[in-house]
Amino acid sequence: MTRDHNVNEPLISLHDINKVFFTDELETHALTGIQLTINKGEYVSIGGPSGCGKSTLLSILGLLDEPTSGRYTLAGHEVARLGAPERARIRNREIGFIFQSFNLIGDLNVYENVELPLAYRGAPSAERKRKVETALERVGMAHRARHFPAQLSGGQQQRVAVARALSGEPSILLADEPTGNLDSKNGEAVMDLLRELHRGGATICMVTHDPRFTRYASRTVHLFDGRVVEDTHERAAEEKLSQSGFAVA
Amino acid sequence: MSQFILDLRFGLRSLTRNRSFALVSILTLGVALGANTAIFSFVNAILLKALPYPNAGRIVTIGGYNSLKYTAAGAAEMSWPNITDLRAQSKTLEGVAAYQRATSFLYIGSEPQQLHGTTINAGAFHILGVRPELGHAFDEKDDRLGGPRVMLLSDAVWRRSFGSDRTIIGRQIPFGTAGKTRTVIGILPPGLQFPIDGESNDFWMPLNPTLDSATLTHRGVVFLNTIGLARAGVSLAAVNADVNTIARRLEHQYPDNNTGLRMAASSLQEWLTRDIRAALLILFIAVLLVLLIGCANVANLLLARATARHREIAIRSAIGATRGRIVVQLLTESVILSLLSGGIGLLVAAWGIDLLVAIAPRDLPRLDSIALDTPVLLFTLALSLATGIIFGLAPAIAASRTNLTETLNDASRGSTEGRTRGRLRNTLVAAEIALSLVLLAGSGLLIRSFVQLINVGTGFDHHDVAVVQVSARPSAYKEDAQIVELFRRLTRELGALPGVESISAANALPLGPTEADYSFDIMGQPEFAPGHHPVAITVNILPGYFHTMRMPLLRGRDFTDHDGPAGEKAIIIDETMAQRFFAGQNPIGHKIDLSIDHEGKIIHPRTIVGVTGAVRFESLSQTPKMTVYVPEADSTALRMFLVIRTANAASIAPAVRTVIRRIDPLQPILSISTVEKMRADSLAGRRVTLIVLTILAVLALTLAAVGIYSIMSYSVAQRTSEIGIRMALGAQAPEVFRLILRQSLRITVIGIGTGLIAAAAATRVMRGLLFGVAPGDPMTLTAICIALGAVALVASYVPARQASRVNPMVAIRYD
Repeated sequence: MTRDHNVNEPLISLHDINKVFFTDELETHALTGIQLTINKGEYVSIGGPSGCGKSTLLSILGLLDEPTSGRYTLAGHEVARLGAPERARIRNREIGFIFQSFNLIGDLNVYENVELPLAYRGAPSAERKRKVETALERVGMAHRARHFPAQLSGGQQQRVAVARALSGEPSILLADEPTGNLDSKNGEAVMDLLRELHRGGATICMVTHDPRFTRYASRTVHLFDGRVVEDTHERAAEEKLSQSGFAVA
Repeated sequence: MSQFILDLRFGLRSLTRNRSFALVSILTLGVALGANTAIFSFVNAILLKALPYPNAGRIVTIGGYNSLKYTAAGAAEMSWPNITDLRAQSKTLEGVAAYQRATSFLYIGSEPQQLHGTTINAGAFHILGVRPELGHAFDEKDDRLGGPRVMLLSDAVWRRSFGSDRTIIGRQIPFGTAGKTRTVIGILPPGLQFPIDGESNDFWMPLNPTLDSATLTHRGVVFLNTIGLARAGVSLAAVNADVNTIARRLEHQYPDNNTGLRMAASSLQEWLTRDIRAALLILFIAVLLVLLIGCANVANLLLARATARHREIAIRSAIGATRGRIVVQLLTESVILSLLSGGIGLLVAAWGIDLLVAIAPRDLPRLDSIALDTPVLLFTLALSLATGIIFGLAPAIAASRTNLTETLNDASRGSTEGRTRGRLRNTLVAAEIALSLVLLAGSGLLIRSFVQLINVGTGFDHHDVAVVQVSARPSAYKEDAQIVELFRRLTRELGALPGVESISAANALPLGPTEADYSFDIMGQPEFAPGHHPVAITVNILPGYFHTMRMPLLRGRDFTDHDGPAGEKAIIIDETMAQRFFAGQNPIGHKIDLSIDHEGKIIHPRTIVGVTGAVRFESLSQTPKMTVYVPEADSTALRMFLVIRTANAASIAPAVRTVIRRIDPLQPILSISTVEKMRADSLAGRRVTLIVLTILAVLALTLAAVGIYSIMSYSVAQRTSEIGIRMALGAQAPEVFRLILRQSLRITVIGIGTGLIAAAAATRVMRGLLFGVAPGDPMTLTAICIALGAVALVASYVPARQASRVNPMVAIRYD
């Protein structure tokens, strides 16, 4: 990730985003009137209690799902109403995903998993090789390139997942509870890795309900019942964390 | 290209890591593709492959028929004068040639060699576009009454009997009857077959020198096959219009024999395959249905696998794979599977072709050209590719419809497949059942037809009768009396063999081909108008024939040695004729006037001296036709079947040969067999169709059973948690058992219902193959529905039992 660190340039803008799930008898309002801007180079943590809409918001940000209404601008382009193929193309080029359950493909080895976004992009073989090797070096997993996911620990699998997210050099990394399936030691390691990436210029948006890890972010957005109830930048967050007894590293 | 290679690599990896799935799929499809390849090799060789003549596309066959009695489908032989007029008057045909099959003998070595050949007009080789490899073909100078005794030999006979001696051209060889020779003027190219009828083609001789003056001039003597060469660019319809204009003209000019005359032209290839086409196409459709059932099974496996892979597919989608890309990836995997299955299919086909050729009727045209050749291999490749797409597409599309958000979150781990995918799986199994029912209905109807045929009254006792075909040598037996004496002596001396109960002879036997059909008048009854004369099969027999064949003599008497030229002109009619013309009367003593005998002479009226039971000629499925029997002594035939009733019919051949050699060492024996075998041969075509269709139906049923079993097992696995909850809430094991059986029953009933509708329509096309049973026969369909229901029940039993044994404690935690 070698992007310029330009914190004032908006990368993502959500305007009055609503998401309603319709079932046979019920309408469930998962998100209501979300207004959110994420600038390039920001590290945003989205928090809130279970069922508050964190994952729904991340799915919309990652173009895995569509809002029921509202506008979504990514890197200057309106993306809320794109067709499936165009959304897939943007996911491939602009967004890198890190999931709680790693979501590596068991039939593919580490190298092939990391190569996959580049393969879908149609990148030439030499370019794929170079980028995969770089990404694996960055997460410290180059020596495990020919291993299969089942042969790795959870922490190693998540590092491979981060490498896969990085390999396509996306505009933003979206991390959904990246430490949720890890023990505290591996969780810390992954968070350190994300912080390093942020320091290198990466824009990161992370969903977590663990207050220990919100301190890694420069900004915290708090959701409750599908609404943004709090949007706190770095300094304020640190103060808040200090008041709650957590120390900032 | 690099994406394709990646897909290929991933696909192969995926299959090697799921060996059980891959093995079951490849074997299922391999057997189905192999069966398709084997049947297609027959379709290709017999129906599709161009005939092996340079002019194949323009060669037509022309048959004549009496339109007052028959349709164009009954078009067959024509008289020589009509063929001559056709040749002279046709504007659409470049050439017309007549031919007739012939059997003769080559006198080389200790025993005469029987050869099969054809007497044929000189123009035939121009029509076929064939030239001899060595020497030259015969021409019009050779092909005339009294023409030279010349002949062409096949390459095979030239090599086998003359050691490829090139000096044979112009040499006389001992051929025909002992003491006679023919001059070889040419050797035809290797492998040349004409006519194509299952017999070998060893020689060709000019037709005209073999005809007598009566057959050359009499339009009532109908016995020659005809081919023609359509002029370039002329359609078959134009040829048909042309030949029928000529037929109408001939009808007008010669009403005595040509009233109602019409002609039908068809392509030679279509004509050659007219008897086998329907059966082959039905088998081809049947084997495609088996492949579809196989595809449905593998599609179901893929759907189950897609459910297991939904997370992987969601991940691919999340990192940028479009839906099309995922479908292509999954299709690549299914095409890899189908191509591997195609490879297995080729092995199955190689074995299947050998088996089918071994059991196929010997008179099946072009049997020798059935092979795994390039067109068949291309067909297998194309079918394999299509199969991969057919069974892979629906599961691929279904799999690509993944809810990304749900799937990628842990919460969805324990979720079951969606309703759409479940419906698709049920639909596929119902379709399998429906297709199986269609196949079972087809084979069930054929089985019933076969049983009806086997049980049909033949009118004689086919057990324990040996048949010896003998042809009296014209050079040795020139007079009728000599011929009759030969056969009398043969029956006398063969009758003295140990174990022989009785013996006689006839020139045509039941279930075999007839020698001659003659029209007739009945004295004392109004004469028939031209074109409306009834026709009777005419059979020459020796006394004792009915006794030996155990045919009932219903009235009157058998022939005796006194019936002949010097005695009464006697005739015995069959009950079919008696019922039609002498209903309520005693036919004995009435006189019949057969139009001509085989030499074209008008015969004196014959007195009916007996009435015998009816028999079927050609095959068991033919209804008995009016038949009359005349004494051999009165109307001699050179070629006769000696029928010998003896308990050791199958082993009497050596003794028969010894006796015949003693009587005349040069006397050719054409064949020694049994009536039992002739009966079996007459059923050979139907038996093969029956065997193949039954194998396919059993295969279909097995695949359907596997399909039902797999979907019910899968369903039970998916519903384990639900079943656990039901049991925790108080459901008893029998209730759970019934719950699963009900699910299976619902799919089976839908499949059977759909299959019944499809079978009602599909079996109509089989009408021509059935005997004594209607296409929608309720008894057959009911039996098949019961059988299918039972199979579905058995296939569901194990999964239902598993479900009823679920431990609620474990199941509720099932994830």
